[in-house]
Amino acid sequence: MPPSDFTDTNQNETPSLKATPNFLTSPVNYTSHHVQSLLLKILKQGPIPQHIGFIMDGNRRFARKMNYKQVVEGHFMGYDKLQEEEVDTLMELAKTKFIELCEKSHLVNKYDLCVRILGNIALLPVDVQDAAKKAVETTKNNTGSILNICVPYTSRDEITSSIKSVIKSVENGHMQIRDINEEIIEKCLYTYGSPPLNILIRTSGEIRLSDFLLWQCHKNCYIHFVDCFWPEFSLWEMLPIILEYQLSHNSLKEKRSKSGLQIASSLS
Amino acid sequence: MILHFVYLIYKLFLLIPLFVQRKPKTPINSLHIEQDLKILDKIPKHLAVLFWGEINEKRLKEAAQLCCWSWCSGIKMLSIYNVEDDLKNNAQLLQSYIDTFSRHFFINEKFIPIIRVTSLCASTKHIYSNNEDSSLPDMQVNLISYADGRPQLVEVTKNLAEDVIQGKITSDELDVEELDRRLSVPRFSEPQLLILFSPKIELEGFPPWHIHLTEIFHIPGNSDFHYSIFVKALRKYSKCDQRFGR
Repeated sequence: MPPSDFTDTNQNETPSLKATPNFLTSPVNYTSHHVQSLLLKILKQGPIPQHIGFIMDGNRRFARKMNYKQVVEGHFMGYDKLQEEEVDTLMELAKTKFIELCEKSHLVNKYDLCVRILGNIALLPVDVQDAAKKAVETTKNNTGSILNICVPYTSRDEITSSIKSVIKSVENGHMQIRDINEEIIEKCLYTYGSPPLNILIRTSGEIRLSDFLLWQCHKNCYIHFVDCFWPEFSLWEMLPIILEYQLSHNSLKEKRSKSGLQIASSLS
Repeated sequence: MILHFVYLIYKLFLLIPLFVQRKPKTPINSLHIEQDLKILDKIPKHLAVLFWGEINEKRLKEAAQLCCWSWCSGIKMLSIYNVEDDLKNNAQLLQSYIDTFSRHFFINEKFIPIIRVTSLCASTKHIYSNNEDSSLPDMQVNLISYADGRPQLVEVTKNLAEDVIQGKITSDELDVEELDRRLSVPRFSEPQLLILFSPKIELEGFPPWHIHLTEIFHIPGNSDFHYSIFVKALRKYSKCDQRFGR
């Protein structure tokens, strides 16, 4: 399954975006909301990952599970084996969501979101391209969080495109061959400008990367394959992931400071 | 303070499965494996395993066992990755462990398969082989390290840049297929399955280009690579359904 966008359009929105449930009308939701808020407050004391990637997989299977008549969940597909009708519906959904982002959506406002589109945008229908470009233009000065929407995207295509840019720079005399290194290639990737990828999450229980962020996740990144469909993914699935990140981050920091102490004592 | 308490509870919770795990016995010869492998619908042609931590004598013996189990399963190519070059530096020792282990393990087979270890060297294109025998091996074992990942992509970029300057290829002709041809040298193609047994799923610099569609099987909480990890991974793989666009 190719990677998908991260527009929070599914029904399982994070509790902070919904109105606080009432204890009398829904005691379970009320308790759940407050436990989640408490756990979030506790976790905020520790290190927080700066960049998380999502492969939002399992929308179609979720729709089948729920016996929906049509699969109209918020994700983008890139492969041409899909039915033409489904592709058209998805493109229409994409356009709608891009327009929503432009028109001061609650997400953009709450998080001061800067929207970026990563991928070979020229492959999209013209009307979707226009809506996407407008979403990027409208939010480009926002400095809160960055939302990278990967469409239509494959990692191999991204790496190839980056290598091509590097080679063109050499061709035009802007760079020498001997200057080519990992940092240069990284600077030409679509994700340049975002912090390093800390966590990559794939839902639906599939255990492969499906050509998503291969360069970015290959080191210093924790990968999680979560066994629920994307529309079912909630804060309860997210919390242990953040917890594990904090545990690993702390033990890595300890190791580094221990090796620093050893070097210091061997020098003294 | 509360945060550290939460960390402690969570760490204890993660330890529970380790007490419950039941490990099957390590097979002594190839007949023991047959029962476990009979029920598998599909086997990866190319298996990769990430050996984390220090490469010592114990790890090399585990790698030698892995080679023999893999051949029994019908796997044609095995790639073993360690982030440092320690595996590559011990290629000859690994080959001798494989040869020794094979003599006992394949005692019931009609022939002892030729399992050949090769260290891929990214900085030059030369491939070092330990076995002077020029006949085709029954199974190829590649030893790979960090140098075969991003640094190899950098090397290919430099070579491509030279070719473009010399007019052998235009920059517009550079596409995913061309890059794939130059990266997937005949001895290191894409693995269908990658096994990890480190505490977390971390690729530690495993060559990124090659794993775009690879199934990644992870079992945490293991300091050793033992037979149960191998069997569970193959069972999981045989059930995987790669639904491209469905």
